[in-house]
Amino acid sequence: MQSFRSCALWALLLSPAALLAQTTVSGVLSVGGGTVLQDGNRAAFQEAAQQKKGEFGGLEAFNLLREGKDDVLKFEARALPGLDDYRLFGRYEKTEKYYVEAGFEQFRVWSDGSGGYFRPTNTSFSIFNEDLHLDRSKLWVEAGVTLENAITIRLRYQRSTREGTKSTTIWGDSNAVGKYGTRNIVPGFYDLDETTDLVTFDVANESQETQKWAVGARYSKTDLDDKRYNRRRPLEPSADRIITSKDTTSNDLFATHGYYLRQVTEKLTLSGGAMISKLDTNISGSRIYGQSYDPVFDPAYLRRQQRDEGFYDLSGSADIKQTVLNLNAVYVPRKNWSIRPSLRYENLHQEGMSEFVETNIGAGPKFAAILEDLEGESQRKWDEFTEAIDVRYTGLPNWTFSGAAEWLQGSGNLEEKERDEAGVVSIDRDTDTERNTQKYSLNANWYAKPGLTFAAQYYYKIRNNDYKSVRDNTPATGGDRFPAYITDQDFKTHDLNFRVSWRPMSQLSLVTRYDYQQSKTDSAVVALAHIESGRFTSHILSQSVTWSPTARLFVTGSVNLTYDQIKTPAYEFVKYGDNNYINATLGAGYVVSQKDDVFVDYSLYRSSNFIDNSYITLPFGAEQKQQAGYITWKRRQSETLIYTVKYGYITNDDVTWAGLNDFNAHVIYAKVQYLF
Amino acid sequence: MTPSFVRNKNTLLFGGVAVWGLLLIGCVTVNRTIMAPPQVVAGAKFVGSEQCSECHENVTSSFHDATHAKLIAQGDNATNVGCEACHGPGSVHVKSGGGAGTIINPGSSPETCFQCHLDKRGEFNLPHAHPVMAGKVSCSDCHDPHSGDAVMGGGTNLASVDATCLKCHEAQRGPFVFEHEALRENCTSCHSPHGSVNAKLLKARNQTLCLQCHSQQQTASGQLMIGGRDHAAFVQRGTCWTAGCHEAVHGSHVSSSLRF
Repeated sequence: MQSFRSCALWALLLSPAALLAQTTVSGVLSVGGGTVLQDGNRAAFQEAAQQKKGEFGGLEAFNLLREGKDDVLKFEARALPGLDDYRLFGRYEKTEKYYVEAGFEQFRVWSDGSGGYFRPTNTSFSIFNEDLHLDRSKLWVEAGVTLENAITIRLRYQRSTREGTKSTTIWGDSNAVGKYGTRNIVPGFYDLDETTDLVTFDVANESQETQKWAVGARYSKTDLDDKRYNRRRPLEPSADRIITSKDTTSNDLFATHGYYLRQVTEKLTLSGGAMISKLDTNISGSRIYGQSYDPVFDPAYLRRQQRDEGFYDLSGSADIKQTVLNLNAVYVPRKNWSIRPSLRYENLHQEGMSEFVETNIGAGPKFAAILEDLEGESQRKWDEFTEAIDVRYTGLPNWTFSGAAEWLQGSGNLEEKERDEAGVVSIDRDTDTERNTQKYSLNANWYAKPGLTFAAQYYYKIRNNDYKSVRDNTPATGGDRFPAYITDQDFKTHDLNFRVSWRPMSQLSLVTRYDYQQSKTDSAVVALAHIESGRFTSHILSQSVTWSPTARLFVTGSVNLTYDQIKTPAYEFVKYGDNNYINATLGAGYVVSQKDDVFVDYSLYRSSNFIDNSYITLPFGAEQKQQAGYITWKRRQSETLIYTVKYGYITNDDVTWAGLNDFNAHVIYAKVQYLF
Repeated sequence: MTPSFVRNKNTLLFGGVAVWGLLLIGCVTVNRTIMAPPQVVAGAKFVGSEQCSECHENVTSSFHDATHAKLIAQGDNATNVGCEACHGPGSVHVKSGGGAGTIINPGSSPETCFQCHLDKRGEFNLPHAHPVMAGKVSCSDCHDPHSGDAVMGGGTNLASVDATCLKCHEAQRGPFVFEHEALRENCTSCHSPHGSVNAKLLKARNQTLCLQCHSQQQTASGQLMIGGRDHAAFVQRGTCWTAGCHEAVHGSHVSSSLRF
């Protein structure tokens, strides 16, 4: 008995060791930190580098993976307070039985809140802290189970948030540009607080090749508490005022979906899916002028100006009911052919209704407030059929060919109304819309020899939108009739790319790519001729080179040359939208010793589109040069210990803003990594 | 501002020492190999996609539907085109039973994608881009490389093409009482999703963005009629969506002209 007890005790004590003998534990612990020494425009630097000025550091990664005979445990953590970057994640999985996981992550995005710059009078405004940042976070819990019959059940809850400030391109006006009149260059910013709670539930059996199915549901609730602040004519004693625009809308989205796939024969597989969704939105918001942020509407606010328009007490709803069905087939008539036809049908009902108090300011010298209760209303019905076919052929050795075609026919109706509290209708429209789209694409790949590949892709897309105004009470020459003026709008796009990947020798790899796109928009409005209202042309030539002359050295570089232009008939007023640029990178890595590596990286961005047409409008073309260079030393002290030290220099010259957004920054950073 | 480089005595001294140092270091014998990004695992060899299926059947079983499956060909020159074209040669990964760090994970670095999508490297390096290069967003957040269309949604898929954008940009979901028709086409009507020279990933920073759809035949010189109103004086001030004009670019609950 004594010996049995003794054996049992030893067995109990040794059991964890026996368990550990069957498990492997691996991971990494990485701790790093550094600082950014920067002068010039801080906000511009932070937006460009997506990094905060000043000190940063902390736990970069603590990743743990424990693999047992039939289970896996994962743990990941990151905490970088200086960069506001956090992650905590854990997952336990019993192989082919169940899993549970939970996590939280947050990262920060920086933006520069600068407004515009008016060159002739050297005018710009800095009226708030332009160093803006927005935090995105995600918290989730998920569990899944696989039943004995291979059915999987998954339940997930997720909360996503978006909180902080960010820039806007909606700028206020200023008369501080002398003889040029008025220019909108006064910066504004957003203050966002958005939360979405999402629950998803899925049941599926996708374990068999011949038959798969899945059904699921999702419910999400979103609450917005967003504000945008704009300032008009700042520093002008009689006209300086602030607009606070609020969007406190919330919505509930419920959707169910499912699909079923069955291999009917060896050559034919059919599948079908369905989705029904319902989105209910509670509208709420305001746009109020005042002398401070977040004011309550005061009809006698200071410095009010004629046509200071806004609204408050906005309430209402906007709902969508949507049903989508699709059918798909994969037919393999012969070994190297695959034909994939598919169909889609969508039915959509949308209704919106809003009530609000519209505010306006009458002419001086009295500048009396004009308040009016108004109602807006819209109803939209839409039916859309899409047919597509995709054909693939792989019968020619070292070649692949595929082609696809897609046709869409949509038709619907939109009714829009606006009336005052007395029932007087100011807008009453009923428009029938038809939309037809065709898209044809061709792809080919040729593996000419080992290490040499040619690839080409092309598509042509045409989309015709026809609008027929059944009823419209707005005056034919009135400014408020738009968009009911449009009767026809057609889009045509040619898109082509060609790529050559070539490895002429084992140490050298070259990739060349050319992308071309041309889109044309033809528009027609009531009683006027068709015109080409827009033409977009883009050529992108890209090249990359990687060369490893010895095992100890690699050199890699890439360049993108882009010509990008949007032309409109309004050249006389606004010139063209030019977005040409060059982007280049150069990097190298060198094994210095058995333990040490050195890496260098350089990047250049250059655009030169600035046209100083200040005398007719704002000169918006970008002219900027941004360069960054880094040198990194990495030492493998042992199999498990790695040190990294990095230094970088980043510089920015921004001609469009006459140097106001220029910066120079030194980045110093070190990291210690322990692998286990 | 460009850093100036002055050749003085100290610079020459430091440069000389550095060059001699590098030469001396260069003579040190080492037996390690350094790999260019994406960091392929040293010594790994191609094993074929069938090996991948043994553990990753949930991924490989639906790959035949993927856009990237169109790259797979028969023939001796295309033997390495499969899972390992993106994930790197898998022999070390297979041998270690799927050990961490033994295979390329394109989800954590865009370098793999840039091997073919060279143009996107340039776009993500622009001053205004989704923060992929900063590691805050990855290509696979918007694209599914393993099944279905790489550009998720649209076509004959159940989900619309905008669903990808609305995952993160909830405030633009609407619906709005007064819509902007452009949203029915999709977000890329006005935004370059990867990166742009212009703020907010806009395709154009001036009024041409709007005018490419909102232009009409002009019947008199010196005027810019849009709808029933001459906008010649308005476009002098700034963009169409500037404060007070047409701020509600994604849709409005109060103004059919999308004023705010």
